[in-house]
Amino acid sequence: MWLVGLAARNLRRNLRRTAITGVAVVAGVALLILGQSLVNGLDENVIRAQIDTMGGHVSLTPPGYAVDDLAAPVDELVPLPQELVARLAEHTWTPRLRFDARLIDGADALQVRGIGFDPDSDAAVFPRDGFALTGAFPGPDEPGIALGGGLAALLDVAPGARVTLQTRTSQGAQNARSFPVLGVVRAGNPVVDNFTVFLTWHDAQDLVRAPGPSHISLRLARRSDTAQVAADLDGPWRATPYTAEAEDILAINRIRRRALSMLVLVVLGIAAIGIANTVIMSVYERVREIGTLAAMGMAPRSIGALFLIEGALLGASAAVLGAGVGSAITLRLSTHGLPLDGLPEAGSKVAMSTTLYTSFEPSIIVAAAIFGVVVATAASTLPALHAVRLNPADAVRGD
Amino acid sequence: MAICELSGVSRRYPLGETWVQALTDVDLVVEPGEFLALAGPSGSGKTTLLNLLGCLDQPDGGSVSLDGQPMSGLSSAELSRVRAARIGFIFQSFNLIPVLTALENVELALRLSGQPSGLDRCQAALDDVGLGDLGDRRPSQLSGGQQQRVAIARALVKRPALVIADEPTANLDSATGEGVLDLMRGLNETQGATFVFSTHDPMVIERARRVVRLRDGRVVGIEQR
Repeated sequence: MWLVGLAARNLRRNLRRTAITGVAVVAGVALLILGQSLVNGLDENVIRAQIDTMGGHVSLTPPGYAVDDLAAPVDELVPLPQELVARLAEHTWTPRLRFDARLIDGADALQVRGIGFDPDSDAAVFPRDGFALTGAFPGPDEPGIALGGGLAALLDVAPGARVTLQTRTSQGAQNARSFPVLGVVRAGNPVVDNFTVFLTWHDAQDLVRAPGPSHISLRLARRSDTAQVAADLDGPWRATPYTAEAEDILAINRIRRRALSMLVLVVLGIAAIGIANTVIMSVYERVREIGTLAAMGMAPRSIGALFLIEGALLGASAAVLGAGVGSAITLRLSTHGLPLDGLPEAGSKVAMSTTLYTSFEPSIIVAAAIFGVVVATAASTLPALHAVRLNPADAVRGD
Repeated sequence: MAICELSGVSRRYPLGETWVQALTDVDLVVEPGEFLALAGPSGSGKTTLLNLLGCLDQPDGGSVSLDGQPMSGLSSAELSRVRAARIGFIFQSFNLIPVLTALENVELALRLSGQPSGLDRCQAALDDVGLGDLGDRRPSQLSGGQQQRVAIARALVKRPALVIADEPTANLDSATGEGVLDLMRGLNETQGATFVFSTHDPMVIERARRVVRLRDGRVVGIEQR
């Protein structure tokens, strides 16, 4: 323990040099925490958007239904089997009918995704707490549509206006109907805001004439049950967990995470070189002192340990500071969020929130801090070995 | 029994592509309680001989024994233990650890020796060298003479069999040097500490009870006072 105390005092000899060396570790650890938290937050963002606005935890599609984000075919739809309804009884679920349509306002028309929802069960699966709603959502007693805020802005329509929704029925015939705009929704999800029109299941059936839903979406009490429930329900109606729905973006995030890890490794590599340089300078400056300690009988192993501890303490101090900085920024972004301004304007079809919240995970912080200490200690190994190998007879004279 | 015995000791060092013969066939016996000076001009082999006596170095030929125990063949870790327990060092440049106070410098020596650590004992060692009230000062807050006194306290606190002093007064003015020498001599007489020191200062040589004169790595004379 006294060796640790001696090492701590030695570190304070040249505070400026110690501080400058520590900055690289601070940056590396903070970057590691922030980066991992951002990518984890991005994952969570995509997953949440997928669960809350797209398909729930598990999504069931009819036999032969082509799952495709770019198209919502209605020609292969079939009635929902009673046997499946019975199996769904233990879950919170809702049917939806997705269909491609044109939203027409006078001479203006936009390609949109219509979603027919069941007013009685939809909100239990797709909570609307985070929606900014102007006007009202369609209901059994309120026929009409609600449309995404981006669409409303493009067509310059507001609640009270009338628009026409044109689509093909499941038999391939053209159909169109005029609807009052009841509400404008801003969900913070570009898919909803820029492409989606909500109408009741009854109105959607009236328009599309489909024999059954295109999707059954389930909301589970525990996210961790998803794979099991999807496996249990998988059959003629294909069950897809949210992870598979979001797989493309999650795969890109994994690549991002690897790229970030490389960047962090480079920063910590620079930090390691800095620490090795600082400790080796310390060894060279203190050759006479090392010789004195050796002459007084300090074992070579203890002399090496002294410099290793100095490196470890430097790393630990900087890692704690880096963890503090990284945690503070991460915590701030986990509560206040980082606006991804550009997403709605870009007309993005990416199902994710336009505000990114970092994922504040203590395990990442602890791991990053430990990693910083390990890097610093490892970087001190060669200088410590150099100190061990000094000849005491030469060293006491400073040679 | 002799504290230290060198028999037919030789030591040479590489210098560029050649070798320098620092010591040649040196025999020396150091008895308990001696106050012995190694005298000779620069390059005569004084420091090399002190290094061998202090177990900081190993000879190329001959043997060194401490309290009858041969030192040849010991590993660096074993030599460290010998130095920690049985040898005290006083250096020309004092060599105090700058981040430690005077008292902590003394305590460090006691701790490394493996003897029970005791602040009272360290304080007593500082009292013996007249620095009892300066124990909380760092080396940079002490004069050269005071630093050398702390170094003496550090060397003696563990009651070593042998105290090695390499030109202990060379970096001090003559009055301070004389005071340090008086202190060493006094501790030699009162505590029975065995001192072997190198010097080429006639004033210091005069105070030794035995003088071993070296030239070109050989013992050329021994004077008993």
